[in-house]
This record gives sequence, structure tokens and C-alpha cells, in this order.
Amino acid sequence: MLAHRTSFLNKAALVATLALLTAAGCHKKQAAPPPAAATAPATIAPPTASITADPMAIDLGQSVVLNWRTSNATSVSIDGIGEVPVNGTQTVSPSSSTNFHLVAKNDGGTTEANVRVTVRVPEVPAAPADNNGAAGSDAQFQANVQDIFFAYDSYDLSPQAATSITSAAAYLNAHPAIKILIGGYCDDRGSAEYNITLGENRANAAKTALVAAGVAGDRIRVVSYGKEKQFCTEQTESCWQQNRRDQFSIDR
Amino acid sequence: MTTEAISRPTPDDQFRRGVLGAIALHVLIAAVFIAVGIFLDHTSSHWGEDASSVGAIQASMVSAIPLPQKYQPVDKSVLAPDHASAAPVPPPKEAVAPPPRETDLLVKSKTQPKKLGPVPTPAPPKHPQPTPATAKAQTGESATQLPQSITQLKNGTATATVQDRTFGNRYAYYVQIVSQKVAQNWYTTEADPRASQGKRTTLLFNIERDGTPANVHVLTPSGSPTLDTSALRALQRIDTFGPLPAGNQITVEYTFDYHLQ
Amino acid sequence: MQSWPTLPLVASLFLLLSASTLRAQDTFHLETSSGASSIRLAAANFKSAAPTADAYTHTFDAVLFSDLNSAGIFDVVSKSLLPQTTPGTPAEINLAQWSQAPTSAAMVAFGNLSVQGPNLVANGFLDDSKNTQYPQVFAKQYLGTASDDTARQLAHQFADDIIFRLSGGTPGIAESKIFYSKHTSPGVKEIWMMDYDGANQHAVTHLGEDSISPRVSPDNSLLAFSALGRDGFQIKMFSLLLGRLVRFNSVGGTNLSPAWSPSGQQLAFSSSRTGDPEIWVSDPQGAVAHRITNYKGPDVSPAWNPKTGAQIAWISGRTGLPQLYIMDSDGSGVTRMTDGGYATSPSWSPNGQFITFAWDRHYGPGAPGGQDIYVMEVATKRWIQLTHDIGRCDFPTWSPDGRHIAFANSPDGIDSHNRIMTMLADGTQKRALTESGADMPNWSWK
Repeated sequence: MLAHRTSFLNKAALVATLALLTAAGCHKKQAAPPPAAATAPATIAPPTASITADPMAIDLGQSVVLNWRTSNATSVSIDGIGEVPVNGTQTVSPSSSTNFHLVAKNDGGTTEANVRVTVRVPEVPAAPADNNGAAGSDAQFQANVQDIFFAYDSYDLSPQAATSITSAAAYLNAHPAIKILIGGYCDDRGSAEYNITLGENRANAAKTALVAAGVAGDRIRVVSYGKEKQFCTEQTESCWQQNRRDQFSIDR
Repeated sequence: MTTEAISRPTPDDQFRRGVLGAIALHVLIAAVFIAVGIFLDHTSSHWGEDASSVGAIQASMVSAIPLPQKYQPVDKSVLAPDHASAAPVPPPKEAVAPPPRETDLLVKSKTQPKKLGPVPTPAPPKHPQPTPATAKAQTGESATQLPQSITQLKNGTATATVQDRTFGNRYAYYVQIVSQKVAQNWYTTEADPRASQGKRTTLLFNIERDGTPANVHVLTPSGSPTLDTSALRALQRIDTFGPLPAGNQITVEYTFDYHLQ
Repeated sequence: MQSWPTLPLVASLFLLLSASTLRAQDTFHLETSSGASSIRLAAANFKSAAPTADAYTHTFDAVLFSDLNSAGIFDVVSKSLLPQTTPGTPAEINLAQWSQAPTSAAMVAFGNLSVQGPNLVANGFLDDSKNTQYPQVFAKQYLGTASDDTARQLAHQFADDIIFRLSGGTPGIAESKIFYSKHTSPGVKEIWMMDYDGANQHAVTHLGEDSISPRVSPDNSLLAFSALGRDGFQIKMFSLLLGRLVRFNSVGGTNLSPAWSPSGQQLAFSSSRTGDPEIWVSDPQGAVAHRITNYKGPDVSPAWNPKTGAQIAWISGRTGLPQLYIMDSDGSGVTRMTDGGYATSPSWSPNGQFITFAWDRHYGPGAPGGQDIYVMEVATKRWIQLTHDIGRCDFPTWSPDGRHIAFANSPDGIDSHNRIMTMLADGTQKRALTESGADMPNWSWK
């Protein structure tokens, strides 16, 4: 199911970001929890403020959506952007890792909130024909690198799947900064253990095809989920077909 | 055979394919059944005999059905009369009986998790002297305690005899376990039915202190090599009869009488 | 491959006849007793030797009865047919009462419970009711800190001693454990354990991951399993003595379905570190790993022959749908055992003669087949079906005494509805041990 899949993607993104933050030695507090702590000295209650970014880590050239909420504030500003409405969203494309600092004021006091967006600048591009390190957006990725589906108990690429792989390889070769995760999935019939190996072979089949089409093997991470995670949970053939797939996502 | 296939629940009852398959299977089985009757067993003129030999296969598969015991230690041994009247005199026994058992318990006690270890010390209140003596005498069953255990099998009779009569009397339950365990492991279908009919083979073997069979050999060959081999195989399948309740070794004589019923 | 009516599987394993077969064969068996009958055993209620012990007799009696009844080798006399006495010692028992109808017991288990200081003490006796001269088979004292759980453990120990003596040397399983994978929250499975009768269910791991395929080492000291992490499923090693994870080297790829050799010195598992999932063997730290299969297609779910340690059964998809294979533990002598369908999850019987596994004989899109538990005789490849029409069954695991099989069952086929059941190795006496949400049972080696 879509919701399931989305939440899974979000979770993956969050995990990846935390890993990056830790690696970069940043202070943990910079990823501010939604309700920022309010100082309360005066008679008028100071404003409350929170700011979030989605995603919290991007490749160079991608954009990120900032989303902030305040209450009781008379003026709100964000460093580098200036005065902004009390509540709002804005899409930004920072060229390097940036600390977005929000200041909300009223007569009672000042409240601050921070969010750090990590921008990964590609290091030495491995592919020879690099497009000056260009990395596409999520939407572009999803449009060009599509999930592929399998027949039951099979890890052979169908002609359709082979076509998808060809266009995916073209996109990936044009965007050498992107690393990808291939997840192998199976329908929920049969053995849990056997299905993990089957999912492994499905994911590896796609990896092999991508490598054959010129994508560097070290850009590809393969994980088999077997039947442990399902896109669709009904006991119907169409649902089983949904679950017998390789899912491609940007590996952050 | 056919009735059995019918009564067995088929997983696909609700599916027509399954039903059709079952019908086909029945027809096939019936054909095989008839073919066997016609071609394989000219010696038996009765259909019923034929069926029982076919059924033998099924009976051996389920060698331990929990039906009430249909055979008993048989009374016909020469030892029976000796004990029939001797019942009311057991007092001196328990002075001897406990010690070997206790050592046995000591050996067996295993390491326990936590502190709930079984303590192999003798339980204080277990002196069976006064009351049981009279009670047992009234049953009149003491005569059946023989160092011998007879087990009826589908295709014959197995008789285990322990040469040490004292052991056999005191630990009659152990002799019965030995008899049953060999019987369970004797696959009578391994013996050629015609060559073995009416034959008898006798094995001699030891049971060591830890319960393992040793020194297994044919004492009296039956004249049917397949019957002798099937008996030897039965012993080879057995790793242990369980530790002896007392003593270091016993010798068992095991006789197989092969007769199709 | 032959179907089951022609099986000559004698074997002590097939202790009881399934009810349906019994009905059909009544006439045969009434005339032709079959060599091995079960022992008719009466278990008297234990006598409370002091009022302080009263509280424990109920638990003790219930556990003892249940252990003996499920052992598979006894015809345990119903409590309603027992004499109206509670003999606490050999001096108090009148064996004639117990050997005559309707009790008709060949063996009588009895004894007393008392509380001495901090301890609960059980004196257990087993008498051969037919042997009037020397009735006592054994007498033994058991003790532990007084509690309801101790009463349960003491009853287990007494039952095991009875079973050991009357089964011809096969230890009882009342103190064995079953490990399993428990669905605790969405996306999270932890490894849990319980007593063999379903009591004492509790968590072993608290990792917050998707942990599956628990396999306990032969000495009960280590638990191998696999858990889903960033790099897919990886084998984890949990020390049951330390209560934490210990090192297990993983060298890339997906690693799963560990299996212990009977020596406890080797672990077989499926690894895709070289691309294709193959069976590998390593030491318990994951070192000295070497590959023993080399054939394109998934290879998974190894199971060691616990008797010899010289053979491994496993599941391979090298010819399409997964089938059961066996090989020598060095990878030679590969033999295919199943002829079709979808076979998974082998477990070897303790005597090495049989393999139990899950099999869907009619697998495929739109096929009506169900996945059931089967037992195959290794030497002949003949098989018998143990479950019928109770939903999807998987992960059979043999008990250490070879008389029982635990398995996972989902009545409606939905994974999260799996629960753990046991049955005798002939398919009778099925009963559920857990609620739904429990999967992949693994019976301890002792």
C-alpha cells in the first residue's frame, strides 16, 4: 500500500539523515524537535515556534521544503530569507549544508528554532561522462527509475522489466551522483526464509542488469525484504503481483 | 486398503479436481489390489488371507496404537507354579532392593538450571513392608512375573528372555520394555513372507550398564536369511534400552516366530 | 514417490494411529495386535504432607498429568477412573486397587508434597503394579524454593524421570524449551521462548528489529537468528548465558537461516556474499566460512542431521520451485528428495531417520493447494502427511525425544495470524501453544 511505502521511505530518509548528522559531527540539537521550548519571563506569553525541513538531507541541486509554525508572534524571520509570514512553507535549494535559523518575536520575548539541512556535495565523480555532478530530484528519479515486477517464484527480468532497467540505467548514467537502493520483495505465500533468498535474487537481477548497462556496482545497495514487508495485503493475484517487485529508491 | 483411503480426510474435498483424483486413485488401488491377489499369491486361496498380508504393511506403520493391551505376559512358562503360592513371604526384600536403585539415580541426575535440583537422596518414608504384603497376596497375580516377555506382532511372535532370573523377576518392567522396543524396531516386512513362514530365529545379545545392546549375534538361524537379517536390523536400530536398573550387564535371548496370521 | 498407504514406516516415531485411520482399520487391529502398545499408567494425586503444601498440589498434579499424557508413550488413566485414595508413600498404597478394573494400571506414579523451610519437597514413586514382590521402579526426591513455578518444575522433573525409565532410555522433554519469533509491534519481531507446554512465554531479545529464524545451540548457551538491518537480513548471535548479543562476522550479502551442527562447533546458513544465495558453513563466530553449495538459484534453510552430523538437508530453488534436498556436510552427494510442489523448512528427527518439512503439493497461481506438514523417511523418500485442512502450516521442528513436532499454523493463511502448535509425530493430539503472532518455532536439543 502506498501509505505503507511512503512511511517506509520517510523512515529510511530519517535514518540516513541521522547517520549523516552524526558523521558530520553536528550537534544533535540542530535538528529541532517540532515544539521549540519557550522561555517565559514576561507577562505576555512569548511566542512558540517550530521549523522542519523535508527532506533533511539532499544531494547538491535538489530542493528542500521548509515548513514553519509559530503562535503569538508579531514578527517572524528566517536567516538568509528575511521576514516571512507567521506560518508558511518555502522551497529552497541551498548549495551547501545550511542552518535555517527562525526567530519569532512579540512583546513577551523572542523564541528561536533551528533546522539543519544537509547538502551532500558529490566527491570525485566516479563515472567518466559526468554531468558536472548533476543529481536529479526525487520526482525525476521516480519518473525515470521505475519499480519492476516479477512472475511468481521467478527472478528473471521480463521484457518490460528489461525496458525499465534500460531507461533507469540511462538516467543513472546521466546522474552519477545518485546512489540507489534496490529492495527485493516477494508475495506473502510460501516460506519466509526462502522468500528472502528469492527477493535477494530479484534485487541482484536488477543490479546485474544495471551494471551491465554501465552503472557502477558500488553505487548500488541491495536489500532483500522477502515477504517481511508488503505493499498490498490482500490474498488476490493482483495484490501478490504488486508484492513481487524490485523497488528502486535513492540511497542516502 | 480401499476403505482406508476413503475414510481419510482429503484436503481438497471441496474441489472437484480432488474428488476426481480420489476416484481415480481408488480405481487404481483396486486394480493393484486385484492384480496382487491374482498374480502374486497363488498359495493363498482365500481372499481374506490375501487382505491381511496387504494390511500388514499398514499395521507395521503404526506399531504403537494405544489400544488396550491385547496380549499379556503368558502364564505357560515352567516358572509359573513356583511363584503361585509363594506370595505372602516378601519381607526380606527391601533390605536389598533400594541400594542399586539409588546409585542408579545418582548416575542419572543431570545438571539442573537454577537451584531446583532433584536431590538423589532416598525419600525417608518409603518402606513398603507391612500393608502391601497382604494386599498383594490377594491378587493372585504374582505368578505372572517371569523373566520373559512375549510380544505379539502382526507377522509373528517375539519372546524376550533374560537369562538372569533374579533380574527378570525384580525388574520385570525392564524386560517388557526390552521386548517392546525390539518389537517396535522389527520391520517384519523385511523378511521374505514365503521363505520365512513358520520359521523361528533366536538372537542373543547383552545389554550393558548404560543400556546399549552389545555382542548381538544369531544363536539359532531360522533357515531364512531374510528373517535373520530383519531381526539383526531391529537390534541395530536401537541405541539404548535405557540404563539397567541394577547390575553391569544382562544377557537377553530374543526369539522371533514368524507366522502370517 | 509413493503415497502414504504403502508406507512401512514402523518406527517408534509413529506411536499412534490417526483417528480416521483407526476407524477404517478397526477389524485388522482388533485381531492383530501390533507389537508395541503404550503402557497404561495411573498418576495419583500427590498427597499434601503439610497444610503449607496444599497450595502447590493442584499445579503439581496438573502439570504431571499433562506431561505424561502428552509424552506419547502412555495410556494415562483418566482421573475419574482412579481409586478414591491419595497414597503418599509406598506404605500407603494398595496396588491391587490400581491394577484391577477400571483403573487397570500397569504402572502407578504417586507421592507427596511438603514444605520444609524455604523449600518445596516432592517425594515421587513409580510402582509396577503387576510386580507384587518388587513393585518399586524408582523413588526420588525433588526440591526447590517453594513457589508455584517450582511446583511446575518439580512435576516436569518427575515426569521426565518416569518417561526416561519407561521409554527405553529416551529422556523426557518436560524441561525442553521452544524458541520462536514473536510479532510485537508493526515491523518488529523479537525472539521469545517458552516451556514445551506453552507456559512461561517471555521475550529473549529486545532489539526492535525484524528478528526471525531462531536456532538454539545444542548446549542451550547460544541463540542464532537473523534480523533485518540496513544491509538486509544478517545473522546475529545472542548469548543466553550473558543475555546480550555476541560477535558474529558477516561478510556482505544477505545472511540468514542459521542451523547448528550437533557438535555445536559449526553453523550452516544461507549467504549471498558471493552474489547467489548458497549454503555456507562457519564456526559459531562466523569465521572459517566456506561454501558447500555452488549452483545458481536460491539455497536456504539448512538443517543438520542431528544423529550423525554428516548430512545437511536444505531447500533449493535450483530447478524452479523450492524443493527439499540432502547432501553430505562437505557438499557432496546431493540428492533431491521431493518431486514437485513447494517444499520448505526442513527439520531432521533426532534419530536421523526422518525429515519433517512444510509442503504445498499444488503450489501455483490459482492452485487450491494448502501448505501442510509432512514427514519423509530419508532412506526411502516415502512420506506421510500430518496436517489436513487447518490452514497454512510451516516451520515444523522436532522435539528432542523424537515423539513430537511443533509448527506454525495460520488458520486463514495470513502471516500475522500464525500461532505455534504441537502434535505427536504421527499427526495426532494437535493443540495450540500460543495465541496468534508467534511464528518459526525451534525446539531446543534437550
